[in-house]
Amino acid sequence: MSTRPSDDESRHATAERIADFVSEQIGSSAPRSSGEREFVRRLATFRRDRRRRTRLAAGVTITATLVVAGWAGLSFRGDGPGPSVLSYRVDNQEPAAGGYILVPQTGESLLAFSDGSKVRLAARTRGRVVDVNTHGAKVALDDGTVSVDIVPRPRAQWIFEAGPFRINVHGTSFTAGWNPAEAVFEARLISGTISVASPVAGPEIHMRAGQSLRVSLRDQTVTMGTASARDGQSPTDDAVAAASREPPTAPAAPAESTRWSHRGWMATLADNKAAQVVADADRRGVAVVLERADSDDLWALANAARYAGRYVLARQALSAHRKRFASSERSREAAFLLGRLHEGDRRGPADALGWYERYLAEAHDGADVSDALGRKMTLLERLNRRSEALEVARDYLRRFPRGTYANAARALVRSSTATP
Amino acid sequence: MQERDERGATGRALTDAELVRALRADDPAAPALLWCRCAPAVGRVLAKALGPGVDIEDLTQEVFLRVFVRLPSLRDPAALRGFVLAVAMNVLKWEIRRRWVGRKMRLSVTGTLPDIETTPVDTEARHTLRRCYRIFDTLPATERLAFVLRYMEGMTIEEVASALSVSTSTAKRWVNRGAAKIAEQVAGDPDLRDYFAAVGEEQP
Repeated sequence: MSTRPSDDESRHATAERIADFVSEQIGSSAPRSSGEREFVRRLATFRRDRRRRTRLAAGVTITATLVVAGWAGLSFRGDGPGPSVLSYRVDNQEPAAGGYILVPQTGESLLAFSDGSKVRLAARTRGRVVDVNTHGAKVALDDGTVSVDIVPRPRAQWIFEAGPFRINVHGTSFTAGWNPAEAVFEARLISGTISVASPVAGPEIHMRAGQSLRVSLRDQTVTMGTASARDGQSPTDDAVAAASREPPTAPAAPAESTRWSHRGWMATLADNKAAQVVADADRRGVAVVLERADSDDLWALANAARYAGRYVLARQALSAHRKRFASSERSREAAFLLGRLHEGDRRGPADALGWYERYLAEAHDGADVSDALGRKMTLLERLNRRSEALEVARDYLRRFPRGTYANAARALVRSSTATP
Repeated sequence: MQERDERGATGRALTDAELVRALRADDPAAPALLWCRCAPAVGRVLAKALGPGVDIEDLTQEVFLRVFVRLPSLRDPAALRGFVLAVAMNVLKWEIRRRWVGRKMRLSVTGTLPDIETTPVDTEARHTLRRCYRIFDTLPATERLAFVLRYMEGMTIEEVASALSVSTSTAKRWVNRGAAKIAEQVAGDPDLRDYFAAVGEEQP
């Protein structure tokens, strides 16, 4: 040994002698030269095994993550809402599959949410609870009026979609209405704040308590004001009132001439002067117009009447167009519009369904095929023809998997598979 | 600690820091260089600490695999040899404890020492060596290792402390306790006492 314990340590002579003896006896037990090769071989094996273990661990981790995420997702979508997910009842009863709500002509319906928020749907209102989560809910209003009273909560997120309009709510009371036939959206804010995303007004419209908003897609007008004596009257009421104002089909006025003189109503309508077109038609006599007007003017009259709430006249003009210009593209579109117009009348879904089917048969790839198919599915479900509705839903998902009615179609398919 | 000169690609011997960098870069020649540089010293310490009849080769392999696994934790690449020795001490501690448990459980990692593989000069020396390791087996692993490093490997107290990853005062305490216990047991064994007394008288 080259060094020895220093003197200041407690030396033990016997221990030193033993150490020397053992060192001498054991000698140099240096590993054999083959150990080097063995070590390199073992190290290579070890590295390979470690890489395998790393890959295995990564695979197990990913699998476990997916399993946990899947489990969490299933729990979130489970039949019963979790403890923190809101629930709701419709008129104190379990909601229908898919969240559809159709309020009868007399009376109203009440959506009562578990956090105390309430949504009151006026008579004849159609809508759907699209989603319910921990922060609030998403409600789609197809037609009619809702009165909303949301209980303020931290991070509450309530969304109301009325046609192409979207209302973001953070705890407030308001009424909102959507009249698809007139393409009119109205909102009246009683308390709190809401913001309305509108396809007309560009950025979101922020409303304060006491304000009212009216947006007409046909006229491309946005009107903001303070809530007035009109409070309580819904857009649907307006539509009904407009329909009731429609005069009976006017007797044919004395014909100025048997030959139709082009009136240029398309241009007038493009200037948002729908009422002027209808008034001109009334002046000339509706029967004469329906019988003699050219395709452009007749089409313009049909649309002007729709915009003005003259639904009977609109139907007459569309029917006349289909009869007189049967092979035109407009006549095919007229079938779809007639379906929309019939959805709101007393005979209701049956007539509308017929027109949608006619449109789908005539216009295989028309611009409104997606809407017509979706409306057909909805009407079939309302008529309790579920198997047909299911068939249409599957067809819709196949052709328009990202369409407007895709979520409703999926809900329908899901409910059918869940039902034994 | 260097037993054999190894040369890198440049023709000169790699420093410890360069060898560490080569190992971390998965240089295929680096493991063999590490073995050549450190294995003899490690094997010698293992043999002295555990005595005859133990597969030193296998334990040395174990030490170097652990060195490879723990290499990312080595902060100062120049301290490679101390790092390897510290790893060897850990392996030794586990081995000594495993053997102790084996004896208690009568699994005989060796309840009685096996025949010596080394080349003792005579039967009496063989017998004495066996009795020495019986005494070593009675010591705690830490005191046994401290004794081996200090008295058999001639390390300073600081080096012992570094190898065992303890403070110098703790290392000193372990060394002294180990030496004292060994001396005390030898004194209580007439054969060993006479043998080492005779050895002491032969020394100048």
